Amino acid sequence: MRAGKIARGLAVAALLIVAVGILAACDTTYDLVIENHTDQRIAVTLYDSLVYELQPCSVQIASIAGPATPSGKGFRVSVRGGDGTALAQAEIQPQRLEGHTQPVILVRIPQEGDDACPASVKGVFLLVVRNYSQSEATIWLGDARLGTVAPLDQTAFGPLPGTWADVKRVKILDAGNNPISYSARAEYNLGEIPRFFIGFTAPRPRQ
Amino acid sequence: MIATRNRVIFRALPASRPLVVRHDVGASQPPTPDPDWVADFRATHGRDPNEQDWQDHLLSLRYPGTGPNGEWLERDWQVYYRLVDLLGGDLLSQIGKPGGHGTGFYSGIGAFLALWKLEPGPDGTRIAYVRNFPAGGIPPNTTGWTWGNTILILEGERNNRPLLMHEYTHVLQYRHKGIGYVPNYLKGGLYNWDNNPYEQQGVEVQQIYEWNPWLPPIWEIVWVGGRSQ
Repeated sequence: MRAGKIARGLAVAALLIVAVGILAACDTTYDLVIENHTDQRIAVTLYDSLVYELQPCSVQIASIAGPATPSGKGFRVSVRGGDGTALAQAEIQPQRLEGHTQPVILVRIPQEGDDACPASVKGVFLLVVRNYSQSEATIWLGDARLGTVAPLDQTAFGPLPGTWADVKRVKILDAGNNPISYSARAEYNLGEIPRFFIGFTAPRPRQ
Repeated sequence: MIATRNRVIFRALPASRPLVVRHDVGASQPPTPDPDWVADFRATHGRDPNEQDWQDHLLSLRYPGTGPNGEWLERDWQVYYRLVDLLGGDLLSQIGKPGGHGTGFYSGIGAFLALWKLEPGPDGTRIAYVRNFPAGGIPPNTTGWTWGNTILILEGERNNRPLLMHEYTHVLQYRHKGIGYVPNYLKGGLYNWDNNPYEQQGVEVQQIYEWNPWLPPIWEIVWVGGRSQ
């Protein structure tokens, strides 16, 4: 009888902890797209700690984590010019955009109006793969084998048709056909073919 | 440092004490510092290396850096130390440990959410690659969720290395805080990541790995304490 009460109490306590903490350490991935359509360098800050520095007329794309459940709260973003002048501060709501599998936090400077830069090139990209390991790796894009990248080397594949969403389709296999996880980000100038960078490493083979 | 016949034998000491030589090192001792490396280190840094310096050096031999032939350049070391400083001794000292005071309880909740479809992960973690509710174990729109030593990752994010490092950072936080982790996390703010130190740490780690794919995984760092500048 007493044991049953204790067990029930523990179960209730456990459920309470689960209910309260259900979304602790629960992360969603967003695509952060920063477009600098001005002729000056800018620095964009997110979470008061992540800083992205952009050259004039350039774009950066990165994946970042954010709160999982829609809270209605935007992402606080601040933008400074190359000389440190505050250019903008805004709460940006993630949005669904074509060419992205994740919700997008789009930061465009200026938000609208004059554009000092060439137009974006869309629908094609260069896949620049950097192999930091000491073994050759094979690169696949979906079912298409793009080729291999030599140890400690870099290879650019393309231009390939597609968008940032296609980066998720990249598979990297080591010499033993084991998948290798990787990091991905984009950095390119407006008017040029977007360059998506992928990099990976692995321990050196034992001597 | 004392030379013993033709070789130099070192003993690891805690914190930032320098490496010290001792006689008759047993077979179970870790590899001993290379005297040439010790000399190079002194010439470069103007001080004696400590045990943490030696462990960091061993890591740099296991994972190539960005220099010629995979050497670690000065900027590589700066990035590495930025990661080490960001995680701090509290978390780094949790590598290789199971965590206590409730970590197992949280891990069990994670295993339940993953319906026990777990694969062995690095450093004693268990990972489930799952779908979102209701087909799988993580909430809609979520790509990663950590419970103690259990990590749930959306199937489509299996190759996302920076995300795994973010979630593994949460593992170390759980191990460090134990049962108090969730209440502490909630104090920081569930949705207010600007003020949530646990998520701040996670997103900064994630960004470091996004920009520096060459970095060894966190769980490969051997932490004996006492990093020196």
